[in-house]
Formats: sequence, C-alpha cells, structure tokens
Amino acid sequence: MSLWELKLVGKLSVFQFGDEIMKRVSFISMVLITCCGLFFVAGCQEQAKMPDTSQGKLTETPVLTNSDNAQNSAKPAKTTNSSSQTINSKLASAKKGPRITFKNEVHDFGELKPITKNKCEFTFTNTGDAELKIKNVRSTCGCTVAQLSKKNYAPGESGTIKVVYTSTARAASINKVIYVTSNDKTRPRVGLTLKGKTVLPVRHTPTSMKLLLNEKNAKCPNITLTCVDNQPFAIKSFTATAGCMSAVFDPNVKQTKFVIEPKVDLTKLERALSGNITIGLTHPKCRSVSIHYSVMPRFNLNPSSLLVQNVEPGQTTNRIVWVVNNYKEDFEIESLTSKAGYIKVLSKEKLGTRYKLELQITPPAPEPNEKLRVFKDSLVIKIKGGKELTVYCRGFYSTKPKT
Amino acid sequence: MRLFSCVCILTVAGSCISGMSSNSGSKPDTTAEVATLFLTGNELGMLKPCGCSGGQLGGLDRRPAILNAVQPSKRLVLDTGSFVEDDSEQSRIKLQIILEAFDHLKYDVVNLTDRDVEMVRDIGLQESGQMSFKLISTRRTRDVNVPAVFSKELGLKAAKITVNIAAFDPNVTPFNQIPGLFAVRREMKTVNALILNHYDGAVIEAISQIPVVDLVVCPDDSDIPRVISKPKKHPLVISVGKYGKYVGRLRIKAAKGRDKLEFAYDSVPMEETLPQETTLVELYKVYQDFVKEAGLLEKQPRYPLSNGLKYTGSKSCSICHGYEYEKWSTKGHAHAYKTLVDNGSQYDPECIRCHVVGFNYESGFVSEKETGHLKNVGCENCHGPGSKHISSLGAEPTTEPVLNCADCHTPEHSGGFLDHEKEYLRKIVHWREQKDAGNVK
Repeated sequence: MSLWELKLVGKLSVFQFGDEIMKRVSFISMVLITCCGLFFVAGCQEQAKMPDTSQGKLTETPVLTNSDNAQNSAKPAKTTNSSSQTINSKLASAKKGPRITFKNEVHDFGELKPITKNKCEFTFTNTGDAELKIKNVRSTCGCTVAQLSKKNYAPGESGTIKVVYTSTARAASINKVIYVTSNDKTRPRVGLTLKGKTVLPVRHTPTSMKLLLNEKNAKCPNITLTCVDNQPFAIKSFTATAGCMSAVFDPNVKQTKFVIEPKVDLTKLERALSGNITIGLTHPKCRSVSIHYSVMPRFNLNPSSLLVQNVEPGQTTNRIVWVVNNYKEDFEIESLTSKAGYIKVLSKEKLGTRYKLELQITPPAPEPNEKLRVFKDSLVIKIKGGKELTVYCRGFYSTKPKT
Repeated sequence: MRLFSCVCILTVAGSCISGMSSNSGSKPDTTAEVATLFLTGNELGMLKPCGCSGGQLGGLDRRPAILNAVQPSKRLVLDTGSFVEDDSEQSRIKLQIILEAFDHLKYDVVNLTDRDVEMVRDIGLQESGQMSFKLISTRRTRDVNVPAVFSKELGLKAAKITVNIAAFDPNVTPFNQIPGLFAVRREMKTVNALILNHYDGAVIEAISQIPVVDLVVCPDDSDIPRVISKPKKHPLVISVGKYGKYVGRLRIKAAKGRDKLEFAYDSVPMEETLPQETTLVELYKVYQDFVKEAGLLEKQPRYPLSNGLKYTGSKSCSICHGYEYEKWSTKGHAHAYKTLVDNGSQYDPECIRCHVVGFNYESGFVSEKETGHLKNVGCENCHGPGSKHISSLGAEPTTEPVLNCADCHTPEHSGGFLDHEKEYLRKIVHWREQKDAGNVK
C-alpha cells in the first residue's frame, strides 16, 4: 500500500472513527436532553402540590366559603377538595389575581329616627391584576337593601355598593352585616357592617323595670316621657300585660314632658311575671313607647331542671334540688309528687326560708322499639297556699355496648 | 438497531423518572400524615336550620358526615362554647340537647363561657363525669369546677403530636403564665391553642409576643369562620363562625424529614346535601317533645294591645270581605300552620310566631285548642287587630300592630325573598285592584 493509500486509509479511518464518535456523542446528548426534560416536568408538578412552608411554622389557606364549595362540586367537602383549594390559592397568590379593597368596611349611622330610610355607600377598588367578578351582595336582614350597578371590574376600576337601611319603629341598636362574595381568592367573602342606634323622639326612663312582689306598689318607679324634638304630644293610652298596671292621665293635655305614676295590681302581676307596658302617644313620629318589666318570682328552684346522661335502666342517680323563697318569707311544702314515678324524694330538709330536697332518679326500662332512648319525669312541688313548682327531669340512656 | 436501542433506553429512563416523581408525593398520603383539629362553637341555640326554605346551612345532625371522616386517634373535636343566646327555659332545653349531641358525636373537649357555666349549673349537670367529653373553662364555681386545660395525643406516622387546648381569660390569668398552661413533652411535637371568650385586639397582640402559642380561637361577628390574623403572622388567629353553619378544620401535617409542623385552616359548610345521622335526627324530635311538655307557648310574655283592641281571626273578616277571604284561603299563608305540624314544630315559640296571628300580643294565638281561629298567617298579621274595625262596622280603620313581609321573610328563614319581593307578592294576591268593581276601598 502506497503512502497516499495509507494516508487515505488513515483519513478514512479518522473519518470513520470521527463518525463513530459523533454518533455516540449525538446519542449521549439525546439521552441527556431527554432526562433533563423529564426531570424538569416532574419538578414542576412537585412544586405545585407542596404547600409553601418557607416562611415558618404556619400556613393559612383562605377559608372555604359556601360559594367556593358550590363551585367545586355539590358533593360533601373532602380532604382532596381542600387540598386542591390549597393548590389553587398558591398559584393564584403567585399571580395575584383580582383583589377587592374597600375604602371602609364599617359605616356608623349614629342616631337614627324611627321608620326612616337611611342611605350610605361602600366604595371598593379592584387592586389586583385580573378581572374582579362580584358574585353576590346580600344582607342578613330584610330591613337592609344593598345594590350594585354592575358585577365585573377591570384592574384599577372602582365600584360602589349603595345601601338603604330602614330603621325600626322601636328604639334599638343597629348591627347589620352585608356580605359581598367575589372571585378574590384571598377574601372571597367580605362583611360590611352597619352600626347605629334608632332613637325615638320621645325618650322614656326607665328603659326597663325590675319589680318586687313584697314591696309597696311592687317598687314600680315613675315613668318619665320627654320629647327631644320639642313637639308637644298627648298620652292616648296606658296598658300593661294582663292588666297588671294602670295609670291616670289626661288625653287632652299636650306637653313635651310627662311623669306617669303606674299603679300595680300585685295579684295580676304575680300571674304575669314578665311583660310589657305600652304607652300610646299622639306624637306624629312616635306612636307608642314600650317598657319591658320583669318580676323576681316568689320562689326559685336550683337547679330548675335536671339532666341525667349515659344512664342504665335501674341505675339510680341522686341529685339535690333547693327550693328558695326569694323574699325570705317562711313557707311550707305541702306535697311532692313524681308524675311518672321515677323520682323518689329521699329527704326534705327545711333550712330557714328554703328547703333542701334529696332526690333519687331511677330510669325505667326503655321501650323496646324506641330509636333514641330517653326518659322524662317531673316533680311537682306544692307550696302551702296554692303555688305549684315543677322540676323537669330528662334523661338519656347510655349507648355504649355492654361488655 | 441503534435507533431501536435509543428509543428503548429513553423510554426506560423516562419511566424511571416519572415513577420517582410519583412516589415523591403527587398524591400525599393525607390519612396517615395529617391530624385534624375540628372546631365548632357559638351554636347560639341553633340546633338545625328551620327548613322553611332551601339553601340553609347548619344542623347538628350533619356533623357526623364531616367528623367521622377522620378516625378518632388522628383528630381532636372541640367546641368553644356559647351554646345558647339567653337563659330562658327554651334555652335550657336546647342546652340539654346540645350536650347530649356532643356526647353522641364523641367530642373530646368543650369550653364553657361564663354564661355556659351558669346554664350548666342550672340544669344540674355536675362535672363531666357523666359525659364522654371533657369540660374546660376559665370560670370556676362551687357547682361547676372544671380545669382550664385539656391535652390529647394524636399519633401520626411521622411523629406523635400533643395538642394542648387552654381556656384563657386575661382577667384571671396573667400573660406571663401562659407558657405554664401547656404540657411539654420532649419526645413529642406540640400544638398549643388558646380559647378566648371575647375578641380583643390588644389581648391578641399581647399573646402574639408569646412564641409557644400556635393558635388562638376567638369569637367574631361573622357567622362564617375566618382567619383573623394577617397572612404568615404567628400565631394563627381564627374564628369558628356562628349558628353551626360551618365546621372549622385545622389540619396538622408532620412532614418526614421536616422539623416543623404545617397547618392549614379551612371550613366545611354544613350543606343540605350532607347526610343526616339518624340518632341526631331522633334527638331533635326529643327536643320538640321537651318543648311541647314545657308548655312554652302559654308562657310567652305578651305585649298588651291598647284601648281594648283584640284579635278576632280571619273568618270574622269574611262577613264583609268574602272575595278577599276566599282568595286568601287558596294561598300559602292560609296553610302556614300545617307546615309546622308536618314537622312537629307547632309547639316551638321560635317557629310559631311567623305561622299564626298575634303570637306576641295579648288576645293573640296561644294554642290550637284555645285559639284555633288564629292559626295561619291571617288577615290581622298584615292589617292589624280587627275588633274595633268590626264593632264600628268598618267605620274605624284597622291599626297597628302590623307586620311587614320582611319581619318573617328574613334571609335566614326565607332565603329567596330578598330581591324577589314582587314575585312573592304575586303569590299572595287576594285583593281586587283599586279601580275594579267590588274593591272594598
């Protein structure tokens, strides 16, 4: 073989050798590129699923709201749904998304006149970088009407919720909430609060009464009516629950202030221990005022009812009940009767103006076909003089399997 | 051949990589690695929604569907208290039912607020010996003497966790004693939670200076549970909502190879689609039976009507207003009482007031036996008591008290009414238009 032929063979060999090398390098490169691509894809999936704990021990996720769950599915919320909510919120926060930001979230009307329509506005802005969609604006009471002109807001765009609140006829504090639901995942539901107080043009003192059966006239205070808008008025009527009170007044007299002296019928009052006084007026903006009263009852039971739980049939439970005269008057218990027969009085001890009763409760065998095993009884305590008191006893049987 | 070899190698390499990424956690094993703290509270007497309209949330009978999704060894179920709104006889009955429901639901711990302590004492319930759950409270009385702290161990694959729950009142316990409330186990991770009975920003700010506290639970105006603390701020401050409409859920994750626990809080709405648990459905019927036995309708305090005014019943209006009475008789209002009878709520004052005439007033509805003529939503609900109008042969108009539609059709009880008032009004039309012949005016 000549030198040229040798060189040619050598070059060919080099070419052949180089070709082989190139093929191997290409092959290896393809493998590496493929591996890198698969690792990259796997890594992205992994990152999307793990919650971000880089900031410390705690993470919070937005609270699932009724509307969010309605979006996810109609099925009961499961752990997987909540996990996917975590994923979505993470991705959403990375992109920011729509954000609803209110100028203020509380409006205080201050003092309001009764039965008037009162307006206010809540202004918000979409401070996010995606379209804000208002799904719902809903109040929690028919007295509050909230309106919004449109539902979609571009980033940077502002909107106004117009609210009309109708005040009550009676004096009352206002605490109403309007819920705004949107696609802002960090605040899917925002509560806007209305505060204030309905104030009647005719004020009354006292605002409520606590009466006593053993005091003269039940220790009922005088009622003062004062008009704050200087509009003279007359008293049309004075009524109380069960007719337990009356008052003298001249319906022809008009002035801006009255002092009424109620007269109490103690017998009727003892039959209506809780009730109301209603005073009718001729004031054009205040037709009546109501004053609640309550009376300390003559007797008190402590406790007033008995609950026994996890009992077995025939297994006795002992309880103490005190019968107390609130006015420290001497009294006698005439009789003690268990209506169903499950309560036995073990002892009855008189201590001054109260009695200590030791009771034994014996649950009966439950009805065989009852789904939920419950028993009840009541102990009727008859006081000499006619008054009757009742202690209700309610018991639930144990549902634990017997060993 | 070479090409074929390349394809095979690449396929095998790809499969290996995908398999590794699957095993590393594309579907986390939540049941093994996650412990759950379920939080409820502020029931405020709501045993279940009234059912008067659809779309209502709540109900003790639907809680098992959520709570029982996690086995007891990996969950802690807590109620923060405020069971009822007042100390009335009806509230006492509700309290008895709620406590029995908690026992059946296998609650671990229940916090008592000051009012709860009084109410629990008033039903003669001693310490929690009779119930399966433990009671905690910041308040102690002679009759109700329960501790302020509760602890439970939850076993996860990666770690054992002790959850400490402490009722806290800054008027009772100084802030510097908070760390001493929590049990410390060196071999265990701990989650320390404080229950507050009131929301106070200054108190929460003071608590945030105490690193050992992980979670603060306090009441809030909203009936929806929410995260009150700012994002990524320690500790996590949350509310549990109101009326049992939602169950709060704090999931605690112990990740392998990680020293710290991870928390995620969300809430599950008690929707109508959740199944009802039979025993608790029966328990509500027991409640209705107790309410009937207590005779609450007769005991209702009443407003007096002025100047001898009385309710007379819709039938008495038919003498002069025959057309209107006949038309009304065909509408839903004329059958409102039956809807209560059908579900056993006709003895419940909270339900009856919107299904009869004049319940809050003297001479108004008392019972079907005594005042059967005042059943259903009748003429006098909207037009006022009729006695003077009848006795004057129509010369005197009817007067207050009158109800507005929204007094009964509240968002809670009539969810579809708001924004659809005109449609609702069309359903009850029983009058002739003013220009029509025969119009009474």
